[in-house]
Amino acid sequence: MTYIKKTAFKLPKFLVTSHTSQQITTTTINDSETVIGSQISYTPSIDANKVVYEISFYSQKANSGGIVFRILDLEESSDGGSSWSVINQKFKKNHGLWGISGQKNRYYMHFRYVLPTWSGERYLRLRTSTYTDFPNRSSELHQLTEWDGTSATDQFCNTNLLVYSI
Amino acid sequence: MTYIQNKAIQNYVHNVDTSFTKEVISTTVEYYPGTETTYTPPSNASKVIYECNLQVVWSPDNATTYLSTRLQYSDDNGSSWNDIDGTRLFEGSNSSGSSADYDWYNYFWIFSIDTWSGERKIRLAGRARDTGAEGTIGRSYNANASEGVGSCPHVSIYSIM
Repeated sequence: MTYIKKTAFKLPKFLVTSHTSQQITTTTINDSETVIGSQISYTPSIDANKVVYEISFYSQKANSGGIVFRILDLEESSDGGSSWSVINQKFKKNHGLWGISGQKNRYYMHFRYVLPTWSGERYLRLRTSTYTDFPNRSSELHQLTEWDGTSATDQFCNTNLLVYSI
Repeated sequence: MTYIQNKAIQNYVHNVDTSFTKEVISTTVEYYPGTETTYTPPSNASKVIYECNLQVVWSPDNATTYLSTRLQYSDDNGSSWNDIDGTRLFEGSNSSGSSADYDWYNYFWIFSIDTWSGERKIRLAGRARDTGAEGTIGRSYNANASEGVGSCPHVSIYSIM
């Protein structure tokens, strides 16, 4: 636990990504993909103690039986995005709902990570991967396929990303 | 849109305990591991904000998960705990018929609570509705179909001036 007295958020960096198509996450075993809008470069304040990464995006499962299960890892790169590594396995998130075939589910996801700080620029991104045993559990991101009581093809929700130092 | 001046947020404290291990929540009120902070607000704070992002998983009961969650405080270094009014939650889902209901929830909670003087411990605690509606705090699972090392809560607490 760390106490930081009389300071506030520093060097906030926002990224708002608008979408024009649905991102159907990978169903390929041993594969993963970046949540569109989750990648950002960030240089912490030199006196930072921690870096906070907060992301919100829309996720639904309305097709293929309505079953979803995802594994989400926050990754970092210190070489401009050439190579990536998981920041900490204990920052792993799982998201899903399965067991009842045909159900539909829709969520506005919000993840918040408090990260150890670093010096210099790094890239961060959120990767989503599938589950080896049941690879059909994809999710459908960013697009709302129903709106105001009717089916929709032109409704999308922005991905909101905020990174700041504390 | 709301703008918050830098001076408006003070005494930022966080808790990200990577030694965390997952915990099954049963029918007695118990601590959600990794969510406790010790905090002293500035004397002129108007509110204290507690934020937590954590994962709750269906196991061990694959038909139902319902947890009664509440924010608690202790003024005696953790010997006794009190619920904070207005922070009680009852969340989860159940399946219909005999179908299983394997839900993996990510919760992001923000509580704005009255300030206090001196040092106080703050934590989340809760219990399952019944023995058929238990859940696990911080279980994680890997893409290669193996049990994960756990997903630790990310907790922050700060004062609004």
